[in-house]
Amino acid sequence: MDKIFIIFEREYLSRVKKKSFILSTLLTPLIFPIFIAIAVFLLGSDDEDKRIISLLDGKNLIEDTLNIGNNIIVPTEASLEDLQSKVTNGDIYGVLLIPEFDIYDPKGINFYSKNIPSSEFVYDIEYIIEERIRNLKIQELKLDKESLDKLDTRVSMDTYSVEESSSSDSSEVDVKKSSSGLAWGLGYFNGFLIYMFVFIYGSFILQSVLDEKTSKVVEVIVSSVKPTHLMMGKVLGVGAVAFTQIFIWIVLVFSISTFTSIYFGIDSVETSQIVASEQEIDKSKEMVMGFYEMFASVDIKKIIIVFLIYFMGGFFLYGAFFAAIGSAVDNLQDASQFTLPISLPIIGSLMFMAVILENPEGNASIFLSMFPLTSPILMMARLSFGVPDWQLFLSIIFLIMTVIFALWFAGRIYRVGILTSGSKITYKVLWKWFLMKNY
Amino acid sequence: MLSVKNISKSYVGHKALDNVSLEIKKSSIFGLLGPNGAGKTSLIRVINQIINQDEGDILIDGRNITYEDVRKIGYMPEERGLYKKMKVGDFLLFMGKLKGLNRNQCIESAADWFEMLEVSNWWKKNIEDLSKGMSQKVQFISTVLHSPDLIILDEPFSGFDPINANLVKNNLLRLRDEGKTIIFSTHRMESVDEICDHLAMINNSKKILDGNTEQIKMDSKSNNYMITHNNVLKENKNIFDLVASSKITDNIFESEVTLKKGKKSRDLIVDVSGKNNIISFNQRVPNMNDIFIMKVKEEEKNG
Repeated sequence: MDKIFIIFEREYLSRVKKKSFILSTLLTPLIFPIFIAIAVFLLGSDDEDKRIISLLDGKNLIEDTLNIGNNIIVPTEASLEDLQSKVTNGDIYGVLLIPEFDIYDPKGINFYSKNIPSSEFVYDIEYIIEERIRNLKIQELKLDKESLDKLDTRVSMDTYSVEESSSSDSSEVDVKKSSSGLAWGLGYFNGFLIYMFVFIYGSFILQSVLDEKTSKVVEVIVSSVKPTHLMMGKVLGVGAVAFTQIFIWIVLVFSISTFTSIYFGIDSVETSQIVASEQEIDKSKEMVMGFYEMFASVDIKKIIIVFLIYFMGGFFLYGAFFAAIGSAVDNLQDASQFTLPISLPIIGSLMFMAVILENPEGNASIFLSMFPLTSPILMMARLSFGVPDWQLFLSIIFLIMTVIFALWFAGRIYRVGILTSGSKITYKVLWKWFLMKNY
Repeated sequence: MLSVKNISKSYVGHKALDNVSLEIKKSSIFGLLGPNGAGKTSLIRVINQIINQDEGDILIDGRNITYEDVRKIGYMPEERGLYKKMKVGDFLLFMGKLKGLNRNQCIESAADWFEMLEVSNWWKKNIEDLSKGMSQKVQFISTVLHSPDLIILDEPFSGFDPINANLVKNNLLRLRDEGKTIIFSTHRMESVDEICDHLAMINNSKKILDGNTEQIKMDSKSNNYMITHNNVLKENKNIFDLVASSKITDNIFESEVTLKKGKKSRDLIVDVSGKNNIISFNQRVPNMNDIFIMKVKEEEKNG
């Protein structure tokens, strides 16, 4: 056992000390806030040149010059042909043509431009025209605008999850505010995170085993460590690096979010009421509050614990396979024919995730979140919607059993593989290695 | 100290070792000689228990070898490398710890060895900055760092220039004199007889010869002599047959002769020096390569 630790220690320290690890660990949690900040910045400040759009308005819907984003709509009195040639010259961006029309059957409203305008722009113009037509109708039908506005109703339905109370009195129930949108987001996020880690760190294991094999250092080491111990130490070492990274991320995300909550002056408990009462709120603030609502509505402790279990389980399961592949082949090119079948369940999980997030209680969802090759990703996707404890328990038991089997299986291939090079490796050869009693 | 008893090992499709037995004495240097692919590395891997034999036993001091024994062996495989992204010191610490040393023991022992191999202290150097010869020295140090009683070296001299190979040879001799037992393999048989006390020859997975190095040489020495002299040599059928003679310069001739049965080398010298000045006179002692080829031919005739 002390040998496994020495291998583990070397593998762990040599990775954690790397600059690339330190940078990616510290910077990745900042990437999302930075993206959001950049997006907000870009939306807020449009220093592009204003684009001129000439308006031919046969209905006098838009009387004055109108600004939409960085577009200025200017009413003109020229012919459509002249304006269209101006568009091709680049003098103006486009022509908006509003002919004389029946307000109950608006037709012939066209927009001419060199480039296809963004759908957002089209939507904005349509909205303005609809609004103006609506006002015309109100005038013509002699309706009271104020009473009409009162007809507009907006409903937002809150969803609550009802669970047995954790207190001893079983007749009580816990009612918690829930959000299916946020459960969806959280499920997707967690599933994707595991997917990413299994892939990235799985390939680290493969690379590490392969490096030892190609740099010929492995035989020196197996003369004092049993090959299976070497493999275990390696998988554990790389796993601990992954664990360290995710742990630092969790801590960083929490401290960043605490910081931003103080900065934005939001008390996370009151968040939902603020969202309900205030309609006009700028985008970044809404995002931060969505984040808080998410955490207020789900059992964050449970999610983190279960996440770490599936994270480790998924990692060891696939890590074992990646280690076996790394030991068998001589270079990365040869590895790809074996990594593809191993990757299929992982990639498949990501595709099934959409289905599961739509219908987290379906039979397929339950099966896939139990099946050990897909459960690490798909149980995490389901988790935020609420999963019965027995299903969670069973799924974890299956996973642990499969992990033990996978490590044993991989170890048998590994012990032969690391000392064999230069031969063509097929599945048949791997199977023979696995069956070999004495090596 | 180490007994290899009737070891056989097969891989898928071919037999690597066929009933090989060896007896290796304490405080000696044992050479394992044979061409590439003869089974030397397989035998060494079996002794190190990196692979398991199909049949036979490995005994240390008369009992079966255990995992603890293996851990004490200092083993330098033929396929050897270093972690490129490590510092020399970190690597030696890692290897030392695997062999059960603590940090201080590693540092002390490494410092001693740096001195004995005539290199400056490389503790802080990056492994990727080392030259090939330097890497080989680091590998050698990592093998003997824990002062093992049994040292097994697979093709230890490949990769060393003659000066450094000599340095390593001298250190092996010193280790032997300190009581260590050393086994090494090589396919370059001609160059090793000076350091081996005992040797075994392996060909086609079978042992074809083993014994004391001097004894083997004596046994296979022929009755041929090389003589360098200053005049034409006349054959004397009573004493010797002339095998070949060649003129090197006007007054230097080189001849190979076979001594007749029952005659002594003294008789030869007396006869030749009657009409010739002898410049040099050597008995033809075959080197290990010649002995190996002789032995293989003999086996083929018998088999």
